[in-house]
This record gives sequence, C-alpha cells and structure tokens, in this order.
Amino acid sequence: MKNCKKWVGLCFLLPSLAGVSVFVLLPFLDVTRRSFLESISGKWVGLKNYKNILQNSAFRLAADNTIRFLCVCIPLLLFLSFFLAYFISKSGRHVRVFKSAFLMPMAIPVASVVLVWKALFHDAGLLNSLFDSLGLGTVHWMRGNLAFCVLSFSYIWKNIGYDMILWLAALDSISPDIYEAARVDGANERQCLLYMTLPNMRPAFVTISVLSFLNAMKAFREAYLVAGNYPDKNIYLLQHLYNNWFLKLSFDKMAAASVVTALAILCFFSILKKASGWRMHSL
Amino acid sequence: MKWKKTISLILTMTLFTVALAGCKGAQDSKGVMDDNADNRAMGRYIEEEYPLPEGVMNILSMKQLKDGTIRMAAEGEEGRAVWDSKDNGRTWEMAGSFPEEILTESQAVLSTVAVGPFGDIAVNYIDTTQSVQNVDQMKYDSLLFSPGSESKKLNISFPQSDYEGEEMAGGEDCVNQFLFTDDNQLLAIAKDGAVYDINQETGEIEKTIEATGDYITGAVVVGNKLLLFSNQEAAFYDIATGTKEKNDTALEEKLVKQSQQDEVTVTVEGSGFSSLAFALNQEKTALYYCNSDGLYRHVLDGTVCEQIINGNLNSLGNPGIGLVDLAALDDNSFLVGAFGEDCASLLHYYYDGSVPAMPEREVKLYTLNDSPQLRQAIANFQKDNPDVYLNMEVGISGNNGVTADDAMKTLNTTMMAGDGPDLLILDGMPVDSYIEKGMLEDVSEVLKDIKKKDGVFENVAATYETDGKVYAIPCSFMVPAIQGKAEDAGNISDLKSLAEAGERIKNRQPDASKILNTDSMEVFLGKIFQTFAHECQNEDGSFSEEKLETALTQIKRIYELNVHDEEDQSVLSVTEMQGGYSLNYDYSLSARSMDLLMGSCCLNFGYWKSLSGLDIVESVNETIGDGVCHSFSKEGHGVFVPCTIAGISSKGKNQEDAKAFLRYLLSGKAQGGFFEDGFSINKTVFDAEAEKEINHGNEASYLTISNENGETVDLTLRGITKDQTDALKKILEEADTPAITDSALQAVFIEQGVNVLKGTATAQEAAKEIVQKVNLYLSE
Repeated sequence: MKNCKKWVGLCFLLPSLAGVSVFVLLPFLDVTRRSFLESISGKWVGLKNYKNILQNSAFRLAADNTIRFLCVCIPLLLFLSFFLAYFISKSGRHVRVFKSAFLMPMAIPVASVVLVWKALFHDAGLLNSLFDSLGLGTVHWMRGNLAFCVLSFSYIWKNIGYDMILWLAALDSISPDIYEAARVDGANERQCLLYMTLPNMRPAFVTISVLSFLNAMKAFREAYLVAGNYPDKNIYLLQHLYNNWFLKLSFDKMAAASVVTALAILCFFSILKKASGWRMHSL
Repeated sequence: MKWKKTISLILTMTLFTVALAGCKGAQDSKGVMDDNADNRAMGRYIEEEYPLPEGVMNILSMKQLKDGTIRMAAEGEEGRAVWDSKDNGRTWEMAGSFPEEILTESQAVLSTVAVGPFGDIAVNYIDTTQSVQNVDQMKYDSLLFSPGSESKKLNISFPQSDYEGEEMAGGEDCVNQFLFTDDNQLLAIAKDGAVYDINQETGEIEKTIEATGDYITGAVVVGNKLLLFSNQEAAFYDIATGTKEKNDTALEEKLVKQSQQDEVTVTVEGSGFSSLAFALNQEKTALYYCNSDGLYRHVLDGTVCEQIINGNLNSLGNPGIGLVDLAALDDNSFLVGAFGEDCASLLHYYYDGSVPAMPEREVKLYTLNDSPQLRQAIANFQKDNPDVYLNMEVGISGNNGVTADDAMKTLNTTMMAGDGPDLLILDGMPVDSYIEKGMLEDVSEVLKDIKKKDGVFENVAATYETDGKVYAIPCSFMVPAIQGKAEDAGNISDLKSLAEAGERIKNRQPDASKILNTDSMEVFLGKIFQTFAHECQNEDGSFSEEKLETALTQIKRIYELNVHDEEDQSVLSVTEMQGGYSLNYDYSLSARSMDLLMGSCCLNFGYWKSLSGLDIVESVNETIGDGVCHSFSKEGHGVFVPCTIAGISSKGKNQEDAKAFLRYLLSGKAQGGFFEDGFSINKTVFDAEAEKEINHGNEASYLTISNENGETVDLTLRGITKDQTDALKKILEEADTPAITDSALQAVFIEQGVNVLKGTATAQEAAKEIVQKVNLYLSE
C-alpha cells in the first residue's frame, strides 16, 4: 500500500517535472555541453572556456559585485521585513492597510521605477535640485559606491512588502497557545521572540531566503534600464556581462559562466537547506 | 485508484509530446525555399520591360482607350508627343505631337496630363514664356486636345478658396489631377481638395464634389461613380449628383489607415510620379492598384485586397521608381508606366504558371537600419536575377520601439539557430567581435574580382582584413574634413590646432557667436569621436587616460568657442534623460558650407561624402576668398569612416548567391548613383563620376541664398576641374585609418563627453570613467 502511494505521488509530480525537464534541465544540459565547445564552430575545447572566464577581469568584477549585492541586500531585506512583519502582527491594528502599502512597490512596473530613479538620482534630478537649493552641491548618485547604495535601496524598497507578507504568514502559523503557555511560565516579550518566535521561523526562513535570492537576481533590470550595458563598475552585475556576451556572440564564455554560477547557487542552497534542516532536527 | 494513475500518465505523455514537438530540428535547405517540389506553389507574374518609343524620356500619362488602343502622352528630347500601341504596349506609333504652345519644356511646364477613354488629352500647365516678377504670380492654363485636331483652351475659373495650406502654393488655377469619366466628361481635382465637373466647351464649372478630409490623395472613375481617397477615408461619390454614397472599408484599411500608421502621404498626381497607380479591369468589377508592396486586386464591394504581384520580387519594390499609370490589359497582364533612376520605363507583368510562386533560391539580407539605396540595389539585382529572392530584414524599423541591442539579440539568436541571414550589413554591429568569433566568411575572392575589374580604394577595402583574409567590405566611405579661410583652417590637423585656430578667430572677431558650425552636443562629440578617437587608443585597443584627458580638454575649449542657446541645452538634456543619443551623422561638408558662406560660422567641420557637392565647396572657397578645405591628415595619413559594411555570414545557407549580390553591390552598376552615404570604394565609379562632374571651370550657375534675417549672399557656382577632382582623390587615397565605428565605445565617449561639456564632470573624471568602461568592454 505504501509503495502504491509513492507511485501515485510520483504520477502527480510528473507533469510539472516534465515541464521543468524540458524547459530547464535539458536546456541546461545543452548549456553544459556548449561550455566545452567553441561558440560558432562547435569545436571541442575542453576546459578552455572555464579557464578564460576565471581569468576574465570582467567576469571577476561582475561576480564580486553580484556576491557583494547578495551579501548586503538579502540579510538586510530579511531582517527589515521580519521586524516589520513582527511589529505589524503585534500591533494588530491596520494590518491590511500596512500590507497594501508595503506591497505597492511590487505592483509598480520596472519601467516606471526606472523613470522615478532617473527623476530622483539624475545629475540634474530632483534630489540634486534639493541639494543645490540647500547649497550642498551636486552629488553623483549613479557613480561609485553611491550607485551601489541606490541599487540596494531600490531592491529592498521593492521587495520588502513581499517578504513581509511571507513572514506574516509564517508568524500567523504559530499557535497562540504556545505563547500563552510561555507567558504563564513567566516569559517576557523578548524571551518570547528569541525562544519561541525565531526558532519557529526557520522553515519559512529557507523559503523566504530563496525567494529573496531569486528576486535579487532580477535587480539587474533596474540597473540595465537606468545605465545601459555599461553602468558604473560598482553595479556591473553578472547579468550585464551575460547580456553583453550575448551581443558579442560569446556563447562559449556565457555557457561556462552559467555552469559556474549554477554550481555556486546550488552549493549555496544546499548549505542553506542543510543548515536549516540540521537546526530543525536539533530542535 | 488505477484510473488516476492512468490519467496522470496520459497527461504526462501528452505534455512531453507537445513540448518536444516544438523542438523541431533546424532545416538544412541550402537556401532553397521549399524542398518538396511536388508541394511547391507554382505560378507568378513575371516582369519584362517593353521598349519605349525612341527618344522618349518621360511618360506623362497612359490609358487604355475604349477600342483597346493604349495611348501614351510622353516627352523626350524632340518635345512632347502622343503615342499609340495596338499590341498592348509592345510597339508604339506616334499619333501626333502636343500643341505648339506646350510642345517643349521651354514653352510650358506641365502640372498634370490625363488621357480620356476616347483619346482626348487634358493638360494643365504654366506658360514659361510669360514674364512675371514673382513665381507666385505665374498663371496656370488648361488645354484640351486630340492628336490631329485643334486644341482648345479651357478657361476654368475655380472658386476663390480660403484654403491657405501648402497645397495652394501653386495658385487656385492649378489642377492636381484631371480625370475623364467613361462618357468623356472632364473632372478636375483642384488644389483646394474639391473635384470640379468641367464643361469642355465653356470651361465653366458645372458641379462640385466636396470630399471628406483635408486633401485628396487619389481618385479613380468607376463607371458613373468616383472613388476618392482622402487623408481620412476612401469613399464612392455619385458623379451625376456629387453626393457621397458609401465608404470602401477594405481600401480604407490598406491605403488610408496604413499610410497614416506609416506616416506616409500617398499622393496621386495626374502627371509626374507618385507612389500609387490605379486601373479597373475590363468588366469594371475589380480595381487594381500598385505601390511599392506590389500589385493588388480589390473586387468592388468586396472586403479584401489580395496581392497578386509581390513588389519584393521586381522593380515595384524599388524605392527609386515612381509610378505614372497602370493599365489592366485584356490578356490578364498589366502595363505599368514608371520613372526610375534617370529615365522612364514601361514594365509589363504577365502570368507564368510554369515558374514557382516564389523564386527557388533565397538570400536573406539583414541590416539594422533601412536604406533606400540598398532596396534599390536589391530591386535591380532581382531584375537581373529573377530566380533569386532577396529577402531584406530591417532590425530597427522605427515604429515598434526595438532598440539596436534588442535587434542584435534577435539576430544572434536566429544565427545560432541556423536560420540567420546570408548577408549582413554590419553598420552599428560589433564587427570585430563577429570576425573574432568566426561568424563572417572570407570574401577576399569577391574583393579580388572587383579590384581586377574596376579597381578599389585599397586603404578602405582592407579595413577588415586579417591574416590575408577579408571578412567585411565597406561599400562606401566618408572622410572628415574642415573648411574655412586658409589663414584659419590651413594648419588644422588635430584637436589642439582646431582649438587654437578657433581661439584666434574669436580674438579677431569677439562678436562672432558661432566659430564652428552648430551641432548638438551629441553630434559634435560623435563627429569628434569618429575623427580623432583613434589618436587616443593604445596598441591593444584600450584608451590612454592621459590622451583622453587632453582630448576632452581641447574638446571643451572648442565647444566653448560657440555661444550656445539655453533652448538648445534644455532640449538636449531632455534627449539625454530619455536615453537617446543620435549616432547618425548626415552632415555633409557641402551642405554645411552654406553656413560658412552666410557667415553663420567661420569653420565648417563635416564629412566629404560625394563628388556632387565638390562644386559647392570649391565655389564657397572662392567666394569667401582664399578658402580651403582639407581632411585632418597628418604626414600623408588621414581618417575615413566606413559605411554600408557588408559581410557574408559563415552560418548562412546560401553563401554563393550572397556573394553574387555582394559582388553586385560593389560593382559599378550598383555603386554608380546608388550610394549617397559616401564615396564608392569602386575607383572606376569615382573616375566616371568625376568625369561627369567636370565642367572645366566654366561658370555654370548663380545662386542667391538668404538667411532668416533676410540677408542675401550671391554664390557663383562653377563647374569643377580635373585638378580639383584629382586633389579630392588624393585626399581619399591618403585616408588610411578607419574611424572607430564601434557603437558601444562611441556611446561611452559621448555620454562622458556630454558631462564634460555641461560641466558636471572634469576632463580628468570623464577620461577615467571612459577608460574604466572601455577596459571593461574590452576585457569582456
């Protein structure tokens, strides 16, 4: 009977697995194959493409920037969105209004966000006009580390509402009885948060981290639409490089870089899952 | 439980099958459009050119008469005459001459000519022998005649009109088009947009038909009705009552709305060339019309317009062809009177059921930007090679918001999928990267043939030569040059000397607001980039920060010599905010030399693009006194800008035919007159054009030019001499350094250059930024 149930489950999984296989796994196998070939002639070149990309300064810069962006933005986003969700759930008032307000940026199309960006951060934009009127001079928002800050801010602003909703759902799933029992045992608010709420958030943490990671990879759209193929070097991300390689027909480098990136992401997710699973088990 | 498993298994299998069905293997058809000969659609209209009567240079009007004769009013070296053909246009006999008063162009300039169903000819013209002070005072006359009989002057008095648009420029008595009804009634479409029924005896207006819309773009008589095309609709009007009957939605969709979308004004004139011609079938049940898309049939009262001749396969698609008249013949063939390139032609289209509906061999041609010259070359090549279909795809059509990057991504995808073009026009594309990746085929064999036959400008032809192989050939090229008085422009060879010369002039003429001719920041920087950027490059292709900083400092110095309007700046900042930089430069030296003549600037910085403007440049030099014009060459080495860069895709399926077309593009036949974006690289073409232009210093004509303040300057336009063409040829031969045409590098330079000119960045900051971005670009 148990065996039969397994088969039924597998049958229900198969349609979506088939879709993923056809549209993701098989193309990825093709990309992996191409990473060992020359782009136009299709000649076997072994690991040459991997060697090329690892020695390529543009790839190293793009990878550094992408990792830096992920390391700064994802923890910040997770932290801010969780505390926003926590305080909203605690306040209990106007939850719907807050939810809608924080979800608004998600509903704004990227093209509109870009227009706002330009209007705000352009050298002759609104912020600089304000600074000028205050006698503070012109700030080059889209150059140097400020460009990175603007991109990070934009990502957090756009995604904080979404993550907040996910955290709220996770917070709602904790039974009020546990808190009640804890309070009867004399636990205060801080203790409830540290020893009751946070441990219960771990399963949601993995999901929200993965979703935030995927959304972070989309931040390229804003950077591309604002500054084109060659933005300031601080916001030159891996997708800029892929985009430019595509234009230059460097499909061999693109394939090798994609395989390396996919492996890095896979490692990251595996570690995240493992760590989370281990802690859950230890609980 | 079992049925659930079965259903899920079936669903999975179906999804797999559907998904995999989309992954069809790439075709390997070697340029042949349909492998299966049995399924190939057969039959299409074939074009042939009928000889025109000897001496005929221009067809004025053509019509099939009631008795089947085709009557043509034409003009030639001997004057204007009427010709008849009894065999559907194959042979012609002269029926008579035009009346004496309108026999030649020196006597009358014709506005419109129409042939009636019984052979009568109506003409509207200006008597050029009349003496008037002003062109606007010239009066139009109308005349009705039939060969062999007396002509009759029509004193038509059109009503006074309050219409003050451009269309009225010719005066109220100017007729746009004459039309004859089936019973020989004469209708005239006047400049005010109304149709008038004219009494042929008295010239009086008997009836007026007012069309809906601002102006009439075309008219056809259909039995007792008049089909009128305006800028708003296509509608039938009753000729007898002058009332509107109904609209024709199918024609409206094809000819009115489409032209509105394409922002094209379709004009139909009775005489002269238009983009549209109409004819009715013998039974008067179907309307035929032809334009650059081909020839269409529309059953009256029907709802569709079906294409029966594809314009891409013959001369109809040639943008250099203007249509005069169309006749639908009784043997189901068509006769088109046209004017193209330099003379009239009579095109006959007959149906051949034994040839495939589309030519078996297809050459796919890709270009980022549309080019009428290229289309013209395609049409002419197809005329000579009817078994080859040249399918031109334009990446940036201009009306779908596609950017150059989007277009190139699509192109790269199709090329990698094995369905890409055979021939690429590489302007605006990363040519070096394509060569490096092996995307372009070696075309040295083609170049060798042209060199052997006609000779080429070697320096330009070798632009994309690597290891003895040529991967792309520029069909034409431009040379940046400077014009001014010898004391100012004589020693300019680089940015520093340009800035110094400008400052000398400014010190001498402190009130001069414009030293260099006016350009937007982007265009100014684009011209500077193309002319001088190679001087800032290191051997590995990267930019030297130090040299860039010096160059940007000089650029700012030059730019600040001119006084810039605030209005210009605001427009430019809006352009920049929208992310748009115009990288298209159409600033020929000859066109801009008028600014020099008018005193609007002291130095003219532009491009040598063709021999046809040499007379203007030389005449301006003479008029301003001690004027010179030279390229920015140093020690016998100058820079040139390659244009219409053609290459064959190594992934193309029909490389042989693509090479044949490339050979044609570089030949004297295609290059002579087609390419106006620069000098042809074919030396024979240059020599032939030079020969044509030379007029050995005779005073050719006089021009009076006035500026917006009403000040006038006279220019004596002299013919050019052999010495002058030889000097220009020497400049072209010395130009051996190709300008950097990579649009990505250009965009970075312009972006940072604008910051320097606006003062939002120093030359040092901008140079650093450029170097950083260019290095990133190069390291990719």
